[in-house]
Amino acid sequence: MIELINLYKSYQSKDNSVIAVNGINLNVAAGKIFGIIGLSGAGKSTLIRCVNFLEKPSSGEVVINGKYLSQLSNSELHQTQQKIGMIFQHFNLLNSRTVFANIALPLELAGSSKQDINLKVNSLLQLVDLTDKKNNYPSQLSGGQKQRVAIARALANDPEVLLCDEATSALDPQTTDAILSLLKQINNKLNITILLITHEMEVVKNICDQVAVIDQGKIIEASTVENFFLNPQTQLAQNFVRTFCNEKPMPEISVEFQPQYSEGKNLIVRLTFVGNKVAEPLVTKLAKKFNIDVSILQADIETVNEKTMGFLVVELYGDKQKTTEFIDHLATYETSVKAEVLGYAN
Amino acid sequence: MPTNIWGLLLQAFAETVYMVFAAGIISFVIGIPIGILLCISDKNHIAPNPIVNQCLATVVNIGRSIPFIILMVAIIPVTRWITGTSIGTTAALVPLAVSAIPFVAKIAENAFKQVAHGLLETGKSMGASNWQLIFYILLPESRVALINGLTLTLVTLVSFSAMAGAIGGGGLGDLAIRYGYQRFNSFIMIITVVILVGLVQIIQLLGNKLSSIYNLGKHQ
Ligand SMILES: Nc1ncnc2c1ncn2[C@@H]1O[C@H](COP(=O)(O)OP(=O)(O)O)[C@@H](O)[C@H]1O
Ligand SMILES: [Mg+2]
Repeated sequence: MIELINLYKSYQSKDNSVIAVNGINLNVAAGKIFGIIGLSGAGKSTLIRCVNFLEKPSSGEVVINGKYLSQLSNSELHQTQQKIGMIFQHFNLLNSRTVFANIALPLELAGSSKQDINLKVNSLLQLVDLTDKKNNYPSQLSGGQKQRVAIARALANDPEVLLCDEATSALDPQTTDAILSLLKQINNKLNITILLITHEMEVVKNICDQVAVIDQGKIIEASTVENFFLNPQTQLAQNFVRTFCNEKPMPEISVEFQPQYSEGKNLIVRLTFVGNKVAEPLVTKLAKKFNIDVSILQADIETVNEKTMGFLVVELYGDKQKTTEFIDHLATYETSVKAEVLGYAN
Repeated sequence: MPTNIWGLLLQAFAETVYMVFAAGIISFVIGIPIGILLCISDKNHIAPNPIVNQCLATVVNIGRSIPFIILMVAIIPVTRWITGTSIGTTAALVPLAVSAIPFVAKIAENAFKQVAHGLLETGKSMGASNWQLIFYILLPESRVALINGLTLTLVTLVSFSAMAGAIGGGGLGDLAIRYGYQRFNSFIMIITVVILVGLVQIIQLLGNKLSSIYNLGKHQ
């Protein structure tokens, strides 16, 4: 549905030039939610603004549903843009318009009749659950309500694609969850392809099917979300996953450990699980099988893209051969379990 | 004489109102589009055009820096060419409008520049053309600032119209100079001042009223 081919965008100023998007190739299948995560300044906003030609790429192609945007005339581009909804971090609602009139704006711009506008806006108000606020002004709404108005507005022209530029970054955690589930619901109900950018793992974890990591204008890693959590390849991706897990309220690992092997010390292992293999049952079953003892130092269960994932840190009591067998055995579940030796207990 | 005074005052008041509002409307009609052009031709706006922007900015700044009293005298030939005369209220409209146009252009430009860039981006993301961006976003979103600025323009025009009276433009300023200054009639002087102050108050009041109607969305 969305295809980016060799996309570049650079900004020239008098004495230097910044390459904000540096050769990006990306393919987002229809009906999917694709997340792009990166640190501030990585080029996320520039990238997503290139997708609907708010920013003209310096080179490369953007293909939306088979249309090469660079080859469209001005009026064809405007028509295509009407079919690409976009929501923003700061909502960007018009203060001079009521909720109803804000949602009606894209329909007015597209030249819809009064009657069509009425029908469409009222059904969108229902979708985002704001019918009772339709005559209010944006200044009378909370952040979450504003973003819901913006979502309704972005959907007004029945877009095939929805772009989200840090759509939840200005919201508190609870409101973030509510907005994310609304986006998921829209994706399911209307089968809209969603491309979102974010710096928050929460967003990726909650609604994305696939994720790509962007750094210095390049995609350095892309995979399904489960695989991203299970098997982050690059340092940056690993940091995202680790930081996310550590942000959760969990007991500190109570055991001191060091990276070098020393005789007779217990192994400290991080285990990541996906899907129904989750957590303790498997660990206890295998511990029995290999005749070792396992003590759980840290445990966290998360729902990632509607699948359960477990993050454990365990200490293994047993001789070296048995613990090695245990870890090797876990490795045979490669798509659903990952074991990683962190070090040796003091 | 006393009955005559009220008649004179009434006529002068009508002339002042005519000058202020006619010149005001002319300056709005010409000044606001110039303000739009100034705003959108700026380098990060929706239709960047450095040449248009620089030329307009220069003309507007020159226009704003010429004192009204000098402008009024300097453009007498133009006034005569347009209206066929250089005295009277209609003739006074020309210098009044010419001085108010750059003022309005600047005020309008500032009002438009306060519209957050994100809103125009949002419009663009909906596939809006530049015309649509101007009429659906730029103008409505800046209307409160615009109304306040235009009110200020009318107030300024009241005092300029009094000056125009000094060279035969008619109106309350003319009356004050002929009777109050040249014939030492301080009664007429005081009455004209009171009427001018009242007129400014009424204009300001109406302007505030109008902007608060449109400001509904902002504060409640
Ligand atoms: N309009 C612009 N002019 C010049 N440089 C820009 C512009 N927009 C973005 N950049 C630069 O491009 C880089 C990427 O910016 P951005 O896409 O906003 O990153 P992110 O959204 O990931 O924080 C930054 O170094 C930024 O300074
Ligand atoms: Mg950004």
